[in-house]
Amino acid sequence: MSANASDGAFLNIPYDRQFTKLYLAYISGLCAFGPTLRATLEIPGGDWRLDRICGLMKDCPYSFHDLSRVQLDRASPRTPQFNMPFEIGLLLGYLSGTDDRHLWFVFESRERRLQKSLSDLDGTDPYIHGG
Amino acid sequence: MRGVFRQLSNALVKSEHQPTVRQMYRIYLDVRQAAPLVMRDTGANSLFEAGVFKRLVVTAT
Repeated sequence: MSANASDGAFLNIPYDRQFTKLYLAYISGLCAFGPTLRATLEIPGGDWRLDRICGLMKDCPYSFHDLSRVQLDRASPRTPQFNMPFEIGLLLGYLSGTDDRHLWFVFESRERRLQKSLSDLDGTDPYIHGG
Repeated sequence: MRGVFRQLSNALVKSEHQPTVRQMYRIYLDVRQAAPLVMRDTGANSLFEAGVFKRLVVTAT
């Protein structure tokens, strides 16, 4: 990461109570490195949300994606969260068609699970935090 | 959460600025302490709201 503290870092993580501790950890840890932290949390609902998400990611030279939320949620109907893999897919699709420089990092809580949950990312070594 | 700190350090090993895990943890303690106050001040029902996120980032920075 450059010394320019105004460089944006896009954070792609689950937004649920079970993830609260790691949410605060990502905010704390990333801010310690200096970038301006951005997330889809900032984007209000309504029309054109997807466009705003893409715009936000394009503005950030770095992104951090936690793909550990592979479980069903607790509320009925029990449903998996697809936003995190979807957003990294959006980013990688965009990067494949542009010369923009962007560094992206993938995080997981368990070893070897990403190879099962998202085998399209085979060859990418996730950072396993065990959280 | 120390695993997140450790792996952020590994991922950003080429960063010009290298905070220690201890430094990150201290920021975490400040952010965790500030979180309920931020929720109260913003009238938020959840930590996962735009205003809360922005203010937690300011706290951490």
